[in-house]
Amino acid sequence: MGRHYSVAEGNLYIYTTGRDRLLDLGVFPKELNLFEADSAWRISPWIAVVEDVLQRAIEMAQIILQLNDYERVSIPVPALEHYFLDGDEYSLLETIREVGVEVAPVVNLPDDAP
Amino acid sequence: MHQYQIGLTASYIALTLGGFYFIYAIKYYISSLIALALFSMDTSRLPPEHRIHRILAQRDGEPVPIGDEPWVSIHLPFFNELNVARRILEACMDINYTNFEVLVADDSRDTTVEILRERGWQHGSPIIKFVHRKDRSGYKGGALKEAMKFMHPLAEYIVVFDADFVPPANILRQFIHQFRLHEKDVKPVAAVQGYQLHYLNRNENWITKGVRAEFSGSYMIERLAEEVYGAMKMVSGSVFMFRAGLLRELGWNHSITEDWDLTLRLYLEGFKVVYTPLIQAPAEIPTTVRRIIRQRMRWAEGHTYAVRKYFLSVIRSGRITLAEKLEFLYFAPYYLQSCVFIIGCMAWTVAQYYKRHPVFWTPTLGWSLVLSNFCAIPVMGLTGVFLEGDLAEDYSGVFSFIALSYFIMPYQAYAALKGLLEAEEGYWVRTLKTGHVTDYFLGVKLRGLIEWINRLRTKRDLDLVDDLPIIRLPVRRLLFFCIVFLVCWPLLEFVCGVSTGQCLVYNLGYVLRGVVNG
Repeated sequence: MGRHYSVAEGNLYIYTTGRDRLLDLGVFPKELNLFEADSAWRISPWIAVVEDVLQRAIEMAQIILQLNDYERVSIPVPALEHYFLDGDEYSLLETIREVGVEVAPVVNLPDDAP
Repeated sequence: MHQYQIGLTASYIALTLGGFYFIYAIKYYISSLIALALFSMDTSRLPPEHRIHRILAQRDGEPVPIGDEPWVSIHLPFFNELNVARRILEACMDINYTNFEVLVADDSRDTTVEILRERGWQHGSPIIKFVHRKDRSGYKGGALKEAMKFMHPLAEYIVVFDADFVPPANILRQFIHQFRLHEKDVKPVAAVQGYQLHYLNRNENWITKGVRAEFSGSYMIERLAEEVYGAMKMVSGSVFMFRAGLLRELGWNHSITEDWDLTLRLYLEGFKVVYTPLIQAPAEIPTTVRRIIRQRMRWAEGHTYAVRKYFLSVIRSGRITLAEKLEFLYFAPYYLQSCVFIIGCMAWTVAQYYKRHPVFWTPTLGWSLVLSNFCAIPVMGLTGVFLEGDLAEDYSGVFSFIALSYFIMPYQAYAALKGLLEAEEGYWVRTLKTGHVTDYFLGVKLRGLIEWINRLRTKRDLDLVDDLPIIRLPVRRLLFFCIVFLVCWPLLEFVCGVSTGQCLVYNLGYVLRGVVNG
């Protein structure tokens, strides 16, 4: 079981395994333009992906994700994309075991953080 | 020009266009006869593999066994579907099937996205995926193309519903059953098309009543007859199941009528489409004339553009049967037929005014052509609602449809000419869905239809039919005789006129000489 997120190729991947459910994606402020009409995104029961996210939005999103007990993991993009397609968490967990959990960078809350 | 030539020329134009439209009319009448006969025939003597059996096969009696359910990916193209998004997603969640996912291809620019990112959809059973694009490139075809990138790798079939449809719980089993019925066909089946039952708001206004009657004629009669005589049938944008492997190969094009474009390409590859009226998904009907006009203009333009694009390929193809080619030829100028009818009637009026016409022409021939042509589509609509058991409720829709069809005719004709002449297709104008429901479907309607068909097929003796209103069987006979009369009258008039009058070529030569000599 786990709550993870990855940042790769400008995309933000938020995903869970086991019985964990994805967080409410409405928690991200509109200003971050993550799951809004003007951005490209995908959601499945186990993974949510936002494409071409601005660096500042990624930083803000990380804060929210960490507050919700999500940990950052570096996983090859194909594995994440495959997880979106079929939700096969065994192969994803295998990949996580191989790469290990990445220590999330310390992110300071900006003054104008919502 | 001398009045004689004007009158004679107008009469020949009227005769040519009237005759052209009469070809369409004959098809509508014969289709109506086929449907009437089909639903009242005793099929017990036919062999089980007979086409008629397969058309009327009731999948409820032969469910797809549990554990033998191929993976199905349901694709729902969305664009600003605030009024209906929740309804179709909830309907999909109620589908009685194991191995399937729902994949929403969303291009919305409004608050529909707030509905999609709700946590309630993420139970995991069934799997619901959302793919949101930040632009609308390729319109619906572009969205469906994007959806295909993210569907489950095991998907063997793809089903598409527009957002205003409400798929019934057993629809996937019905589709799979149809594929299995046609497994041994010589020509492989690429897709099964179901009935787009435009029904949910049929009593909202006169327009919705008219469109309901129109679709009933199209889906209960015309397409059914096409299935009987093995003609080319269209994948109609919604309520169809497609082989995923083949669709991966063919892909979606960015046409404004992506469904017609796909249909022609699949036939060119040697595949075919199967249609059954017994797989039904109820849907909304556009509620204003403006919306209908915009929708039909898109259809007319995209359709004609695709006909132009693939015409020679289809005609030359060795993989397309003669019946399919004939249907394609018939369908090619489809959106110009109302125009043909109006111009033909105007020319006929001019000819009548100058009292000039070919020798073989009689006033009754003119009247019979006008009457037969005018009644063709309304009779088909009436027969459709009759076969669905809704004649008492929906007959008035036929009159609405007549008014509507002639009102939208010039727009449709303009769009068809645009598709024929312009280098590039126009843009997609979406049809707003309101979410209004005036008539609930909920499967009862479908069961009613099947029971009604069974009664017609099995209980020929009126006395044995307990709860069947007595009026229905006479209506069937009345429709039958009306249709036969409307087909035969102009033909007999023409044959009699020609046999007693002068040669058609002689008259035409006379007109041309008159034109040349001024």
